[in-house]
Amino acid sequence: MTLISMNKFLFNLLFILFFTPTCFAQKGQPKLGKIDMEDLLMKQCSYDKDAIAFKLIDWGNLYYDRGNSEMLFKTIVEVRQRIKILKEDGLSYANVTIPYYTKNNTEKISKIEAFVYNIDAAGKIEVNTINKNSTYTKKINNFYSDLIIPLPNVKVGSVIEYKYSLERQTMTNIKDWYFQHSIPTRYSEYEVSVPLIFKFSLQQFTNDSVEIKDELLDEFLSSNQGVMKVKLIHKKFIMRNLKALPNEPFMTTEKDYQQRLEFQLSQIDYGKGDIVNLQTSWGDVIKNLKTDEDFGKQLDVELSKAEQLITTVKLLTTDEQKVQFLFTYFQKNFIWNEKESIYSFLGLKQTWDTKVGSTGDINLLFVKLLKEAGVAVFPILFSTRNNGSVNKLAPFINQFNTVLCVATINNNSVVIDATEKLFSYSLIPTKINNTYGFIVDDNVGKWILVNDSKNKYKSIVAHNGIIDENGILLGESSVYSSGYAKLERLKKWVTNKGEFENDYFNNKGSILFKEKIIVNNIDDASKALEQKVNYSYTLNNSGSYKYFNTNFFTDFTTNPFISDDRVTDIDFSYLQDYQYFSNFTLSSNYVFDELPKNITMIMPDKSITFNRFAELEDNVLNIRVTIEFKNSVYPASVYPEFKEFYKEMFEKLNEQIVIKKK
Amino acid sequence: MSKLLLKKNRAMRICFLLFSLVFFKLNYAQPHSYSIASIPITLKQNSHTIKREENIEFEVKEMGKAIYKVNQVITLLNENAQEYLNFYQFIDKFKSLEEVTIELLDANGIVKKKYSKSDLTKQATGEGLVPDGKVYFLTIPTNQYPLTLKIGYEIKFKGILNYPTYDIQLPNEAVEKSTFKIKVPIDLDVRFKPKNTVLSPTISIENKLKIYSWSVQNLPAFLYEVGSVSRDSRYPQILLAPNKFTLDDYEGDMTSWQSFGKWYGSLAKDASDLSTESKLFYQNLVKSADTEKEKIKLIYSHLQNNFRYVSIQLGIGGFKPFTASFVDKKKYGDCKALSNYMQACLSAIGIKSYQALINAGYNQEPVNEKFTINKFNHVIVCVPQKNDSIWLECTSTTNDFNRLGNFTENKNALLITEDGGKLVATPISNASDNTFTSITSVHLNADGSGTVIADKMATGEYKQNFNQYILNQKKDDQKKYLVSQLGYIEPTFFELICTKGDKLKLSIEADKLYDFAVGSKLFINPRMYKIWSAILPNAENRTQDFYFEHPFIKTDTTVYNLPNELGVETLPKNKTFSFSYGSFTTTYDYEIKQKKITVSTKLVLQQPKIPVAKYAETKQFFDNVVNEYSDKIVLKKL
Repeated sequence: MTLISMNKFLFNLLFILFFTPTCFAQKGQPKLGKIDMEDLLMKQCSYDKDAIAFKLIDWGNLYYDRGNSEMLFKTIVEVRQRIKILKEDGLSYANVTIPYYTKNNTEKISKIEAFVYNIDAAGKIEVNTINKNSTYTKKINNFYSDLIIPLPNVKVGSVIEYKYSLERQTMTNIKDWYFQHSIPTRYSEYEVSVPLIFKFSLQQFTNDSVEIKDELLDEFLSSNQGVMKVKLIHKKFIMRNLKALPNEPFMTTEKDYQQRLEFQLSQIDYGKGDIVNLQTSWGDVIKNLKTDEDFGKQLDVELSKAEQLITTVKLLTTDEQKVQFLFTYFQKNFIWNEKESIYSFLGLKQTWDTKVGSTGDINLLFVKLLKEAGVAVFPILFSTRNNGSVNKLAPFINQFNTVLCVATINNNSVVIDATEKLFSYSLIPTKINNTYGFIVDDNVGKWILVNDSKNKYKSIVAHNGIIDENGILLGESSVYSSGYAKLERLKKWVTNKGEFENDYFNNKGSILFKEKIIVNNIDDASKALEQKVNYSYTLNNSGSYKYFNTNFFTDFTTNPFISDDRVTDIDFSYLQDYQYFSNFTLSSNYVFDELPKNITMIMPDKSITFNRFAELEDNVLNIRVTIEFKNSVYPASVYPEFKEFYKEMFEKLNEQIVIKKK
Repeated sequence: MSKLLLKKNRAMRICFLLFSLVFFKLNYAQPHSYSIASIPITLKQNSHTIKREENIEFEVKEMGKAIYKVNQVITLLNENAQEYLNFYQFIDKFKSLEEVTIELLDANGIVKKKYSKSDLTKQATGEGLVPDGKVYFLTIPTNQYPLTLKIGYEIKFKGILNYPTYDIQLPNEAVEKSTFKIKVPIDLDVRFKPKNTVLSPTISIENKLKIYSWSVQNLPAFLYEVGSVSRDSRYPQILLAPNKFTLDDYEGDMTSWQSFGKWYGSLAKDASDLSTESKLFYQNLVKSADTEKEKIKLIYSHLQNNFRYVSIQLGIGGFKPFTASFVDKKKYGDCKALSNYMQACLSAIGIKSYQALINAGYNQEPVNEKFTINKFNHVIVCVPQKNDSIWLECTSTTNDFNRLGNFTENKNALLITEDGGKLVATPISNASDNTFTSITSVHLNADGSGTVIADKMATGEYKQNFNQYILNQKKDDQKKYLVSQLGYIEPTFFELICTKGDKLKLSIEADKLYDFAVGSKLFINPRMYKIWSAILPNAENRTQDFYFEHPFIKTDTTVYNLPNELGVETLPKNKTFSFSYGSFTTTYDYEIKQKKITVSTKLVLQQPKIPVAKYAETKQFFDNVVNEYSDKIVLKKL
């Protein structure tokens, strides 16, 4: 595996928010309510002609202000957005929806201003100012609300603008900043002003150039203790002309490619030597987790009526048996609520009682029980594919979004997800395969690369058929799915049988009369999922020729890689292995016109091979196709070759076999 | 704090598919063994769930006040019944969810777990940007099938327009025993209509209350059929409707379409408050137009270009429109608001028009003339004319003037006139309104590469497809549409020029225009794309009519220009086949001197609704059309 490093960024700096003196040059961006005619006349984004809308200004300003009775300060983020609507689909940006966190009044939105700019019938700039009573608050649930501003008078060509203040009851959390979005951005600026008592670490995920400006200010800042004189660090980060991020098949997640800033508090200096160090090393992360109410403390809680289970597990001879027994017990009894978390917010007591929980609840419980049964086991933290890759250099707990278990069996580390319902634990879950996990052990923690080299996405299809004297193909096919292929199909089979048939046994474009699909080995983890189906099919013909295609019930019915360009890496997360066998017996009144050619295709870097071998023995045609993917990730840079390979491969797979009457 | 934010990031926003109401119920009074073993074997066939016992009672206390009590015991046989583990109830300002009790029983009928209202999560819901509905929901965590749920809940109505429906049975659901009762004061009474069933009630009178009761027993499960009429009209049910009702202090009478329309009209009576200035604007806009039709068209086009659809469902349960002056200022609105505005604009230039309520959806049945019930979900505008009325869909920026489309055609619309409601049929979908015409010229090189130039013209629904999938789309998405939807060969280069959404010019270069080659022979498709590719559901055991989205006429002319190096070995036979509601023809013509093959094809579907008796031949017809594409022109090297 050469491509496990998933950091797409040229710079991946980690530094404490510190002061490097530079000059603040004030220039450039138009004031709220003012607009250049040029922007209204603009028809498309000059560097992205497909863009449905274009962020002209994306601005944020974070500063500290007087806190409530419990907190010295709160933080305010002023946000300003100016967006040009370029196409009909871009009109959705005019239905402004701002989600905020309302539990305990943690966040509040105020000072809303909004404008719509158009060119009127006389060719002049027309500015609509939106008043405050044109907004709606939609309470989503007890945690969230949406502020909704349906902007008036918006059509293709309009520019919309809005500004608001987000008040946050926190002084230890700075909102991250995303420079890049699904539409292009012309100007993005984040300004932060932080009292020097707070030291923040900053991770900068960027690969285009960033202008950074600093100044150190002596200011009077109002706090809940009164007005204080503090030193403020004032920083600005500016990026220009950012491209849109596309959503592409088999990409990990937008976030892995999104240029952004992430902040984490690392130290509070109360003065006079009173310094509180927060997480600055992975060892600190471990220390904090150990004493965390929703993590380490949970592992020490007393569970009622768990002794019997623990005793049963303890009595088993080997660690392997113990793990297997407990895993099976969890599979049968626990339900995952589909939520990822590194914490047990429900608490292990409740999880044990109700048998329902998040990954945090269930896996921490698994760790606790297995440990009490005498197996060496620790929690292991991950960031799932959807959450983006982790940066080992940045000791931030908030990078992770899920926790699994890692047990030592026969001196091997085995990663277990106790929420997995369908499969044995020997398969690394797709969501974390090929990523780094952080073991929360008794020391300073440890990183391991979790990479399932034993299990692949593996699929075998065997067609057996007879073509009778009337040109009707009577066939039976068996499909064997193992590893990740089995996992994927089992999930579909269990949840939606109609979709299963439609996704995997639909012969696109030809009428095939199938009988019922029989599926075997659902519960037997050691065997491939066997799918059998019988069918009949009337061969197509033109003149004296009849022909048929052998590429049915395979994994290659439609090519997902037809885009001309690719921005993100193709990340399958697993290795792939396909074997397709066809065995067709021809009625004696026909002959094969010409056999498919034997072919081998190899990617220039040898990362994919395609092989086809065909032979005729009497009146029986045998075709064997093997396709092997030796990498799980194909970087965007090899896309031209990759795309060409796929095109050729689909052409070869879809070639028809031609027969004619003797 | 960082942890709090983590929580926040993970908190899911749950989206609900708006299934029509699936009610669950339970009965405490009677002792009953709910073990799986006691289910009659005949009820297990084709079943995913079995209603063991159901008692629903709907009691109308007085006009606008009612209580709906459900008690239900339902067995989930296997994981196919998983969706029944999601209990949810939609509420709004007129409906409140009172107590809820849910018990989870194992296969032996033993209670394993109990839930109450406090275990439910409450969340905002609705399809609009600003909806006013909420949903209570609970997902019962278990995967140990079979299992049984005992569900009891009560809903209180304060203001009620739509009475609950008695849904007797859903697909893959057997019924052991079920009773639905409505109690209503004699002077109010209730109207009912059995649908897909002949079940009739027993009626009694008790303490000035009239009581209707429907009961069923031992109904075996039936199967789900793809492509049938909309779900709300598909299954056995009893429809109920009030005679008199009140909603938010707006009192109404539903005994006739006329009176119901009168009520609706009263909600919007102050909504046509267009300012004098705006009236002048519209008078000015149409002043040079000669005919009434042209004037309406000018206004329709102005609205299409300047107003946008935004769904904001507020005001009397989403029935009261924003006023015309509001829409005038904001330049947006939902279907009610935009229709109301259109009406106000037309009125400003002296043209009378009506808002028309409609149950939109291509597979919706027209509402019944004889049974007044509120089934509407959409509003359009009708301008009465001497001959054919003009119909205006005010939420679309792309519809042609006076063209409704399959969403609202073939229905009965309720016109809101000054004399109350008037049920009027909307236009019927015509094949000739939905045409797709393609003229293609293919220039083939000796190696099978070549260029394709195609002119495509679309009307009706096909024009809407152009608008949705091609016009203004990213180039990669256009390519996906060409290759994945229309079935073109993956091009090495292509260009699409779309003018006005109804015409497009496509140029393609490809290194392989043939389907496959064997030795020195090239096998070429009859056309460069698939004129039809959908495979219809199986015809065996079908009991319900089948709905196509719309009728159509598709014509294609493809001319293959051959190079000197290639000649024709085999041309497919000309084909013609037809069925009760359509036809297909394709002809091949080879002009040897010009080295030109012309393939002409026409596919027609006359009407969207296929009676079940004709479904088998329909299926056969479209199978034949799909298979026709596997005919190949065989070319040989000369």
